[in-house]
Amino acid sequence: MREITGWLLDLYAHPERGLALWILCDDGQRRCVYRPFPVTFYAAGPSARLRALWVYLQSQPLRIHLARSERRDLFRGETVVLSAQLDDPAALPRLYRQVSQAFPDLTFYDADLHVALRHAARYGTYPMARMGLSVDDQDQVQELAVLDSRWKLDPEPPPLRLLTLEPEGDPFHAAPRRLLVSSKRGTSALALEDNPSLLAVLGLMIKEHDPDLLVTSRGDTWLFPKLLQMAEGRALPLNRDPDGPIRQKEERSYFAYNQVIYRGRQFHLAGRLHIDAENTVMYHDYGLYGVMEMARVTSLPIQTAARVSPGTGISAMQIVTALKQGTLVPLRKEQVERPKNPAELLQMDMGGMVYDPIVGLHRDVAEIDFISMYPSIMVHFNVSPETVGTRRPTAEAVPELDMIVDRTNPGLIPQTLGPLLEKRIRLKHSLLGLSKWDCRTQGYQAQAAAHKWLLVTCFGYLGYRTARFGRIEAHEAVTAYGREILLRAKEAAEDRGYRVLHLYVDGLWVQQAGHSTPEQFQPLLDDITTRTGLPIALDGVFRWVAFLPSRMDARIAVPNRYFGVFQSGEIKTRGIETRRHDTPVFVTDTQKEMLECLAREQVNEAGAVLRRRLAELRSGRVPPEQLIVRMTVSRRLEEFRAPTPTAAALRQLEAAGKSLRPGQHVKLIYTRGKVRARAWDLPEEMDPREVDVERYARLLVRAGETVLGPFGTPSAPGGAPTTRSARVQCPPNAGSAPTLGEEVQLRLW
Amino acid sequence: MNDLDLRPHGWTLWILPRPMRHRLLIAAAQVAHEQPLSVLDCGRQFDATVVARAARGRLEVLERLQVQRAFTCFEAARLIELHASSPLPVLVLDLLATFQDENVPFEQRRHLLAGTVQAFQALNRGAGLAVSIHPPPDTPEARWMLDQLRAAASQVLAYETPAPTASQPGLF
Repeated sequence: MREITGWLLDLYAHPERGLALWILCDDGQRRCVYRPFPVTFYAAGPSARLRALWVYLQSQPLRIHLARSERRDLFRGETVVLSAQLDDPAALPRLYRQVSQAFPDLTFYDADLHVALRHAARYGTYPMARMGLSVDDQDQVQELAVLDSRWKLDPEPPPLRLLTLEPEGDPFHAAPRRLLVSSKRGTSALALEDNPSLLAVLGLMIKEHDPDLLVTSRGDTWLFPKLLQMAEGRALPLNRDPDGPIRQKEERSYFAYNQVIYRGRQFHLAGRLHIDAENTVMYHDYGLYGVMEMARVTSLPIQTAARVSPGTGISAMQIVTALKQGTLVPLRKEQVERPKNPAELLQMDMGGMVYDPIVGLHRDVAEIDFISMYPSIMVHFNVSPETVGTRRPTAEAVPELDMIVDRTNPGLIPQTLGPLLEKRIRLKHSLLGLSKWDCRTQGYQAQAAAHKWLLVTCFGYLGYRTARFGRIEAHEAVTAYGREILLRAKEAAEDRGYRVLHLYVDGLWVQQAGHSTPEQFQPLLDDITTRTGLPIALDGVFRWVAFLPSRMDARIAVPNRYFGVFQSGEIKTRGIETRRHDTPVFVTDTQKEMLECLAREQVNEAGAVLRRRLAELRSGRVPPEQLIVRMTVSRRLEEFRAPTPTAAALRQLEAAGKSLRPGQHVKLIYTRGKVRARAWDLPEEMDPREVDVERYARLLVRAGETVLGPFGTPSAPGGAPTTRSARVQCPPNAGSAPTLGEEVQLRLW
Repeated sequence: MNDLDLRPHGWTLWILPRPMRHRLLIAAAQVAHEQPLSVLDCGRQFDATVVARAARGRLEVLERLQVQRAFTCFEAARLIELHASSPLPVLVLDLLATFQDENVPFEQRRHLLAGTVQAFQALNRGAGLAVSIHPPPDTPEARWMLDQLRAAASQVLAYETPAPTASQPGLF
């Protein structure tokens, strides 16, 4: 018997030995150990059909232990089920596919769960957990203990060996010539044309470095398919586990959150991790730290956690909670909405509270936000699918709605979210006390970003159509509490003499003459917390902030569309061109440069930037790369009816043998003439004279107007000199710089 | 468009272009002036403001409408099954919307739709039933579903996309 301590790198079903666990051992070894791991699924339905399923399962060439049992369904309570336990966890996915086709009328539970989630629920494991194991001579685990907690802020970092593989250039644009291979020892460039030597050298490098993690650029969608095709069946040591297959998942497009989402083909390795930075969901936002944190808190394997949406992460956390409680995990929710009349529907479906902003420029404005408001509501008020609408004597009424919530027995969702929320609040408090040079800052920020997306999604998942533990009434209860709480916060602010400039779901923008330091706002924060019971924090005090009007009608305010400068000098923007994904880099950069001038309160310089950049555009000095517009493909090419620039670009690419699926992005340049757009990724070079300069000029001027408008600026894309006065709103006694707080007239053209 | 014909023994399948969806809601409000009605919205079609306008602000009319929404084909099938013995007439809106979800295997959708059509036959013996769909995409799966509904319905009313109406140019 041997004792091993180390970090859990990976865990997957092994066809012969139950479960394979890869451990980064403290002695530097990478060891694979095994353990038997029987898994159980359940079926419910009419007795005759369950008997038929029993007979069907008995006829399978697998060891299946069948039994009748009673288990808890979250909505129906104790339910009679047929339980089927398999010794071989690797056989379950195929068996489940068979039985669900043969018995589509039965309700299945616990049938499609990742083996890592089952293990997490039973043993408390998670990716990169510190573990102590006792292992016998056949590498079979006899004992296992988790030595730390996923809720710890500073877990001991695992000694990961990293190798990055990156083609030189975007393969969709033009075939790359070299593959860049980087490790901590340096970077090598391998010629891609020379197949035999590329494969040999790459194989040697992987063997020599023996990386735990391969980070690639387009590994899923281009590099791995190409390497495997080159290898033509010969062994390429991408996997560390020689018996484990490279698991592939096909590409797909699907519709969620009112948009089409594309997920590229995936390659998951065994015993070694693969992350394709271009085929992940949030990697560019929070990096490897964030991916690790996502895996730790959700218990999903790292390769999966990097590629799935935060919604899947939240769902995984709920599954682990349910498994721990012995609650059945359905494949999907089947609870139907209770009947409502149209008046109720209008009232319940209102969503978050919004007070339109007071348009214009304002000085010394505090932005205060509830910390993760909706998750806090779920935890504080115990909002969960099974607690809403229960007829228990302890149930309480939800504000505004004819609905009750049981607040005494903690629900599945609050139990899941509670520790995550608590960790996020601890992280936020720790971050406040750290300087940006502190070595912990980057890791904490990445962790906080991962938590943020999980917590943002958890509210949507209460009402999301494919959520396993969703219920529309719980979703509506959360927004009802949210509206009530925001109103209480507004009343607290007004009672203390603040002017409320804007309310937006979980945030308030308030102003009071003479209040400009964070300390002056603290009593208000305390008062709001007392009145609402939820944590609130000061996001910052703006030196000035501009709330923008509608482009169509300047009399109408637009919620959550603003820009401003905090006292720290940090610029914050929402809803303007720099935040949009389809804005060309040239326009984004110009607007950012103008904002930097405005942050220094140099309005005329901002205008000068716009003039200079416009002149550069008109004289052809802007590289075409900076003019690329990135559009999301919303449908298949044949489904486009109008001749939009996206349709034109897709058609050109199709003719060049390059196709894109809905949810992918197409890069294009606006051009003159009938077609109006040219796909960027066409093989032939583009003639710069084709660029529709005037269209870009309009985009640029519009972006310039957005930020100069509140300061009183012209709007004349054609070049005619015009002036316009801005509505500038400042408290009369606020100290103002010469160019702020007064009406300004500028001449740009 | 005629008023909804909600009579026992004979159900109507309405094939409506999307631009006409509000007219069905207005017709539902007209029915609610006379009698209660269950509306099962399977495609997020129910716009309460349109119905409230059509009810001319009469609360008692709105209270005669009972709306339930389904967001997946599983929920749609379950909702309709639960209403199979409904004492109220039933209007199902945009039935096929959720059945076109490609994330659900076609076998499963086929099974669910078959169960739904059976429930329609039971509902048919109740207080009345009307089912609306939008013209489905031209795929074999969608065609199969449409054929099932057409074969089961007592009456099929198919509407064409209305031509844009000429508008009087403004004088000023």
